[in-house]
Amino acid sequence: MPTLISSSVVFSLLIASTTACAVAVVLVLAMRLFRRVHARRMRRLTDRVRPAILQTAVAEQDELDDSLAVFRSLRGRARRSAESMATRMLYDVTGETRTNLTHILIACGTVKRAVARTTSTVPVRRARAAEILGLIDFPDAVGHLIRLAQDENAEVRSVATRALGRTGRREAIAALLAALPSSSGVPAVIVGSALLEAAQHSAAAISGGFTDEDPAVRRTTAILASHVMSPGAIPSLITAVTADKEPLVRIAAARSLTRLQTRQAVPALYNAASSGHSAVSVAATAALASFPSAWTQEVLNDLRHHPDVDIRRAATATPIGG
Amino acid sequence: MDVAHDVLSTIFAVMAIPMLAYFIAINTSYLALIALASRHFAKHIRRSSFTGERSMAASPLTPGISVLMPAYNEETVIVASVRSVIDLRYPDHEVIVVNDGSTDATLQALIDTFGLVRDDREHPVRVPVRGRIRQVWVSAGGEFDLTVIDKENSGRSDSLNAGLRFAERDLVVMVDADSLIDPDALLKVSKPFADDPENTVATGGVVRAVNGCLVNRGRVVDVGMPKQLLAKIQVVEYLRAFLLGRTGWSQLNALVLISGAFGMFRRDILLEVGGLDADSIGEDFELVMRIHRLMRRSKRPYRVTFVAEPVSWTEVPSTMRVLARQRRRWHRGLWEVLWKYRGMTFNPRYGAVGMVALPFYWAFELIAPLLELVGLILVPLGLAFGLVDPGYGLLFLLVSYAYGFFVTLAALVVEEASFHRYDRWRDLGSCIWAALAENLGYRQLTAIWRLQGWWAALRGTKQEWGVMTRAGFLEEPVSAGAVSR
Repeated sequence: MPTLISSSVVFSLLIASTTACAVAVVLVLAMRLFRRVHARRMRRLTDRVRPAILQTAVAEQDELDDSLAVFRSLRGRARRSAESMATRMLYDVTGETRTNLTHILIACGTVKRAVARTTSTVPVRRARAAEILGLIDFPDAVGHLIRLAQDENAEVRSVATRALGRTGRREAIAALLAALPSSSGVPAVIVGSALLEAAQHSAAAISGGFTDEDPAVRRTTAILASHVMSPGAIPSLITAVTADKEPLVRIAAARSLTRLQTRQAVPALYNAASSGHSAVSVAATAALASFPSAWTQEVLNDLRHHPDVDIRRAATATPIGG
Repeated sequence: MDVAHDVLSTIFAVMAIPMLAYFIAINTSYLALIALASRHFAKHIRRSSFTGERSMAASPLTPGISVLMPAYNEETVIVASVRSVIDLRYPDHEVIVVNDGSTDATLQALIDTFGLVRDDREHPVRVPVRGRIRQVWVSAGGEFDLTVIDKENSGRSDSLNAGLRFAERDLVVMVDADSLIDPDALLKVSKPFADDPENTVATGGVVRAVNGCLVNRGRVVDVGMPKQLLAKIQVVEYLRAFLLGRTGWSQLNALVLISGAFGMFRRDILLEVGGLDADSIGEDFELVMRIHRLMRRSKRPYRVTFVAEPVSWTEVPSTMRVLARQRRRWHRGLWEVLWKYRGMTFNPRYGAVGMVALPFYWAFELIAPLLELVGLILVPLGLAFGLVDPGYGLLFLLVSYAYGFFVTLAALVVEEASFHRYDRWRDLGSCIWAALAENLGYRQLTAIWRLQGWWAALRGTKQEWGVMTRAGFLEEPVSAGAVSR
């Protein structure tokens, strides 16, 4: 060992590693101190702007302009604090309060900045802009969000798609439908949830999804159908549960029929339950078991003798179901 | 004496350079993992304003989750644990508790509290289960979905397999009955599945030490450092190895270990691999390795992702005896799994798992305690035989400890910049002190225990699980408005 490296090198290593340790300790202490001071300052600022935000959020139309004057004059951290609080509140409010909070963000310049950031070269900034634009009650936002829903960055597309759903506007539906295929790179859960949020306009639009070539589109359509199209979705779901070539679509259709509880679906579900695909059969049997027993007694009796234990189990009433 | 001197001299000559290289490599690889994790955290923090969790929490399209919770003699905590899991913020989750032949009132407490009724339906047989299932109980009301499987005692893995048989949702999460789960844990850990449903097959959440934290109704309400030094050291050890190490591996798409205290899997994949290996000591590690092997062999694209946000809290051993037993078991599990999957090591067919992660685990996790102890024996001998200059030896020792200390401090810096859950100044002081103290006895002791575990495995000694002695949580007084500890 003594000949391995000279003492002076080891000593230098010791100095270097000790210095690195000291720097790390100082850094961690400095970060803690900065965070504490910053948090305290933000708390003070929030305490200062909170009454004004709450007052403005519930202000009548004629009082609004006076209330907003405070926000127009805010600068620096105070403005950021107001922005942050108003944005957080926007997730939980609707109607007039949402409109008033939007006005606060307009007065703070947040909306203008968000619109400008939709063309930023940094994807995270575009995504943040999309999030803000989806929260506010601002008609022009939809146009920007539609553009961002076709962004080159998948993350921006996802955030914009979610935001489009949140706007609940009719103009958003076409862009949301365009995001349904798996090739869009936007997860089906996000697109589906967005279409659900905009349910009042999406019901008619999604029905075409049952015949789409992309199984992901057909599956999401089958899931959404019971939520946004019922009972108009029943014929398409009945066809899907037996005829779709993709098992995941048939399972989704069976689950949707569970929610819709229609006697019309019993023969199709029985067919699906007798199909060779175990997961489809279980989903269809579970759907049948959830229906009133007067509709399904005969078919369930038959399924209780099925060779697959999972199907027999699904066909047997739970103790809760009686 | 001359012979001993010569032998030692030869050993020093042969081992000096490899040992030095090893020392540099192990600490540098930890630093590299921390650097990778830091990059991920920076990315994560920048995205915190648009995670979409609220949307997920409200959407009926969010994939359903079956929460599997094995329980053995947990009568004191089971009701609070189950209630806290039922109350988790998630749109569609069922809870399946597997009573693994408890000899106390675990089952009765569940039946009485949740009004369970017998479910006499035929049992599904999706994966093999050894312990006989005696009875299945289900919740009678519609407010929550709780199933309790009462079975003969057959161990944690077999109990999880029994739970897996009854799991109906697309995702399955395994949690320990004595762990405390954060309210948004399911949302956070399932997010990779929602974002990338085709490729994500498993995710793991961060498990942190609950010792020293204040708990109210099964929730951690105030995070603090434990009082005992042994637990303090484990807090920083968990930070460095679990939070940062696993995040780093996840970034390389080479995460091979997901903690059993909070791991989420796609149910179809779990069924395809046949559930957990009931014979394995390191069943969590073994399961993830089996998933890697399956996915790689079948050439399917996949991801095993680590979610760095704290989601689960568990009590770490506060006595030497229990800690020793835990570390022996961990190391034994490590050896058994590495040996079982030795064919994957340095095998390019298994990508980063085979070429990077497994060699790392062999070299820097399995062999590390052996080399550490060899060093601890050789250096004093070298001093005694005059082969090592005392000043030089001391200098070398200081360098190695300073470097190790720096790696842990780097982890503390990252924690401070990202989650900063230990918010008090005195907690920060405790963390720094623990990082220093870790090198002064703790590391050496754990090295001995780990070697004992390895040795026991090589000799084929039967593994005893023993009892984890729990000190219990610091419960917040019911009437207390303000947090006081």
